Amino acid sequence: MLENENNEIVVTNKNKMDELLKLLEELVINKIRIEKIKQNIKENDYRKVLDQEIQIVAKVQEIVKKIQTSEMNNVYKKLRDELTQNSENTIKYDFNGEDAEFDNNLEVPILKLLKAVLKIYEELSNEYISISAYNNSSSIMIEITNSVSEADETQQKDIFNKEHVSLTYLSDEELTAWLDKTSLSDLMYSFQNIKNSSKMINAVIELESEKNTFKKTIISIPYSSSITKAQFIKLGNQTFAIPVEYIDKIVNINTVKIIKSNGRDFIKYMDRIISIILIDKKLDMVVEEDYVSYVVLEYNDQMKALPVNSIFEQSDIVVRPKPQAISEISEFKGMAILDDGNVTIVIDVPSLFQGNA
Amino acid sequence: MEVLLFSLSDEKFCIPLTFVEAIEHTAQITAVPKSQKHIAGLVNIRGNIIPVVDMAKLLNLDKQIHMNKFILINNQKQSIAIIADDVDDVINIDEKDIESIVMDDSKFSLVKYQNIVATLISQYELNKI
Repeated sequence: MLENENNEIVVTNKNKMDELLKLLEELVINKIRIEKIKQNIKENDYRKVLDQEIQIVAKVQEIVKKIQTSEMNNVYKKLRDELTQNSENTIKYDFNGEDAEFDNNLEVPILKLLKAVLKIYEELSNEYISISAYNNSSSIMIEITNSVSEADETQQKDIFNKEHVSLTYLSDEELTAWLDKTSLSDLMYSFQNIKNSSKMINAVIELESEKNTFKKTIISIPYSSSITKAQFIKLGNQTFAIPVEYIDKIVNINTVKIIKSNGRDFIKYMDRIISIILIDKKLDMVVEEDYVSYVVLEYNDQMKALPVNSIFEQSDIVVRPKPQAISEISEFKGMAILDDGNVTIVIDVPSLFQGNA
Repeated sequence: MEVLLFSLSDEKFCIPLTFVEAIEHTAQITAVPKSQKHIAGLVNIRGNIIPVVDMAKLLNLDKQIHMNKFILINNQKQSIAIIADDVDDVINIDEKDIESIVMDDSKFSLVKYQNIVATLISQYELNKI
């Protein structure tokens, strides 16, 4: 059911709506093709028609996005109701970003995930918790920030030996090892619950500390399909797409010198020394061709250089989630259909920055 | 029960028709590095990105397949495309036509139909994907 601006409820068939949304994705791919064709056409009349096509698709895309999405306000309402029912809970909650949007089939999983995270904050005797939600080009971001009293800072001392932990990418063994070093080992079940809940919706959970106290949880939940600009590269005979938002620069391999240190390879890039990441090795690929360029990636103020065999064009792509059969491969963010109908794999750049990569 | 009969190299297989969504001509498969050995890759079928399964590898058979057809199935978790050399027929079988075989550590079912013996791909095998 859909609610229009006059608050009238419109009943629609979900299967037909899903079919309509799939056709829209094909229209978006055609829009990209039209933009390429337009560059070679000089006649004004043709260009006008093509411009109109592009504008119409963009408008339809915007409208359909509203149908596909719900707002955080719906989640906050249910969360507030549940929190007020617990009279022992004296924590003050502040909810922000009520109009942040997410795919409307994720309302229940997001609520479940937030409740699991808040449970941990409640165990740590917080006085005040702020929940803020906002959208970026590919995900909804939910940040949960707490304030801890001075007495509890002592309790949380030495929780983190690093300032930033990606909970999603920790294996069960790593999670156990990390928690054993902290005063949070009793909350093992709660953290595993969060990890499992986040996997169901492809969410990435990061934990930040400040002065050794557990300060902020950042949840990133990707849209089921999102349009992003991507750089196409080739490794061996395989083409991949890298979201441009993570690319700092592409440099010719002959213009940089490899520096060897501690058994690893680095390059000097601007005024930094950055590590080289061989994604073909991470993916167990056999690549015989020579590398020709480094794609310099940036994420969370870190940089890595990714050597590649070929660089192609940049283009808008519709990123779709990974099919279940390959959901366990963390190096992949999703898939996209190219304008020639073939499928390409979209690299999950944040995952390349985890662990010992 | 109606089953779809298909060939992988010189062997016959069948799958309950309730799982079958469509039969398609093969298309360009995009390999997926680091995937399980029975995942041949991904394919675009009418705008949907579908994983392609090599049944010979899933069942640990040493077979050379020519990949002439995709059989689109839904195993209640996801849609997948099974590679087949040929799709033969839809046949109607009874419980008495199915023989359960236990050999070494494996258990499977064979279907006898006229002069044909075919391995039945059941929910159990499909759940492995």
